Amino acid sequence: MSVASIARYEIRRLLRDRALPVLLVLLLGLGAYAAWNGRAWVDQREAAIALIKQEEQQTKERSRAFVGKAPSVLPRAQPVLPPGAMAALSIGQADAYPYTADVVALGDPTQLLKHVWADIGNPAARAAGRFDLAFVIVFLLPLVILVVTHDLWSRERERGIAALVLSQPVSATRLLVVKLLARGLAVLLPALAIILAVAIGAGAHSPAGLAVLALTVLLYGAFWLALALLIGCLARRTTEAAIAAGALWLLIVVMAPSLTLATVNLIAPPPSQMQFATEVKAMQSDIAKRQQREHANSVPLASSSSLIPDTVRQAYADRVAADRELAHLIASHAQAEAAHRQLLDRLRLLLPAVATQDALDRIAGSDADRALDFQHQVHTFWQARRLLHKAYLDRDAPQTLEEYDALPRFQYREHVGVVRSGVLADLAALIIATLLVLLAAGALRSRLATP
Amino acid sequence: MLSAKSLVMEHGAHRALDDVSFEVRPGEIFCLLGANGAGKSTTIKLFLGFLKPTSGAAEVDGLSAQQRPQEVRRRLLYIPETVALYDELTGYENLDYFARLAGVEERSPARLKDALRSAGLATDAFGRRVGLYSKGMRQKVGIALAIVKEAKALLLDEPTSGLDPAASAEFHELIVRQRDSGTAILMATHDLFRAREVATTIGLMQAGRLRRTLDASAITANDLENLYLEEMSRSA
Repeated sequence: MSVASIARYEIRRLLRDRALPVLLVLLLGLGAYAAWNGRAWVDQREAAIALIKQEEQQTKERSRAFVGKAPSVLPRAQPVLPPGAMAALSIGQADAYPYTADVVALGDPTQLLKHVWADIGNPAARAAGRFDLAFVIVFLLPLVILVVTHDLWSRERERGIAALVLSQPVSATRLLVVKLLARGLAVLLPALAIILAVAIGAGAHSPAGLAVLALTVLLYGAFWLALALLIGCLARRTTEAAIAAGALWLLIVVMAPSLTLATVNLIAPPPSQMQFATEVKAMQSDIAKRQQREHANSVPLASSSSLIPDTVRQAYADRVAADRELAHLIASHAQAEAAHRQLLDRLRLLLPAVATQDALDRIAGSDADRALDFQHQVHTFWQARRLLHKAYLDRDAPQTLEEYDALPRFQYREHVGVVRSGVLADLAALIIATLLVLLAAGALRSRLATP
Repeated sequence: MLSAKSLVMEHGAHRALDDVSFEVRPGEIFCLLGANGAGKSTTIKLFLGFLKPTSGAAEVDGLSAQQRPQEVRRRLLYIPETVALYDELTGYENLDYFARLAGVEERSPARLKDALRSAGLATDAFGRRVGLYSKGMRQKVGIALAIVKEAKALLLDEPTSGLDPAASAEFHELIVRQRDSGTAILMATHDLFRAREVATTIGLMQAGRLRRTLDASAITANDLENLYLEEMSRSA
């Protein structure tokens, strides 16, 4: 029998069942709401960024009056991480990392990213939760797929149709695979069209981003279709199949990510921010006291002919020395954070739902790597600012108005496009997981041969 | 056409079939009579290749059902107690679908409709969904498939169980017609009266053994009933 004939009849039966159209309408409704939610979040963030930029500009204008009166006037800069071109797709970890910073040239590096993420503590935002398109894809799409495909073979077995089917000269495995593909494409293609349409409607406008989004949805869908095939090989009754489908969804989407996180927290606990802050504070206090003592005991410098007072130079030297001493503490904290993150990062590849969420976050630009890259760029910008101050001290001439007006502004540089190695690793993980499930189903295919 | 050669089927310590041998030639109906659990359905499943015998062989047209199941299935049609079809499809669509599964080349609408008509299905039921069909109507779709498939052998597992007398008589007429066209038919049934009427040969099964093989034309209904009761009362 031709593949097309089996597929045509399978789709005809599916459409007459009416469950699929109802599910797709539901998916459209939820997808549209999620996209609107994502768009609202982007708008909110863009509005916050506009306010920050306005404040930064005002600070710069106010500080202009002091140029020439001090060796250097380096007003507080407030770099921002703008939402990506596909930001409405997934809020991801964008709320967990700062999207703005306070760059004070002679400030403490631990304070760079402290005045942060205005909405993380917003009770209204927390109460509403984050119902974005990524949530629809990671959590709800598998349910839609499983509802349509979980009884791929168990229904035939339960009704007794399998006996009549298997008494025909047809391979049960081939039949099941064609049925799966027919049902899978009947649910996955309209679902993909809905997801792309609502994403575009929400302002996700990068063609490459949309292409990778489509690929991610298809691969994640293929993983769940492979699971439906496995259920088809195992379950003899529809109830068994439904229970297996529900249990797998719960395990893969809800339980496994939580258990993995709990395990990682046990193996490589995240460093305590509170402890870090306390240690930094104590160290800074010690350093300050020691420096005061040293200055009190030292012989005052003979008045120099320098244009810039020695106290300013001393303050700079103290600041640099203090930062050098703090560097070890900061580095060890960062190292512990990185170890925790790296372990999670590797384990995500074993968890299809997490790998999919990660891929969507990366496509949307709401992933941890982008946020960390922003932090890195902020740090570099801060160091450049500090060196600018040093340059004025070294040349022994205060900053001019022209130099003030030409002060560099922070501009976040997107290193690479949407197709990044992280996304490719996520997609490869999905392909491998799908192949493993297919192998398991293949090993059980002999169970299909009896009605 | 159908040949059971010393079939033995064991499930652990239980022997479901014990050295069962018989032949069904083209144009013959072999009725297997016996109580529930006698081994009738197991015998049929061995011919379909759904089960593997512990020893012996079930052959169709000289082909082993276990070794060459696809070729065997091309030659036969199985009608269980209830012909389960896709409720969402019409009778015509079900026939078309199963004819495609069976690898039937000639599936013109005219031929399929002719087969449904020959099987006794009313024309106005062709386009109706099978979910609305009675059991008898479903059996007729099964017979229509046998016609379209040009099956050389029919395996019927209690096909008239649960049918009303008129539908049962109509069904037996249909299988007699199939027999007359040269089809070999193996039928498991509890209906002694109908079995004697339509069968060429009757096999009495009890506890997995084929106790007696009788020429249906040479036995009266009363004698058949007495023999049946006598065999069924024997201990395994």
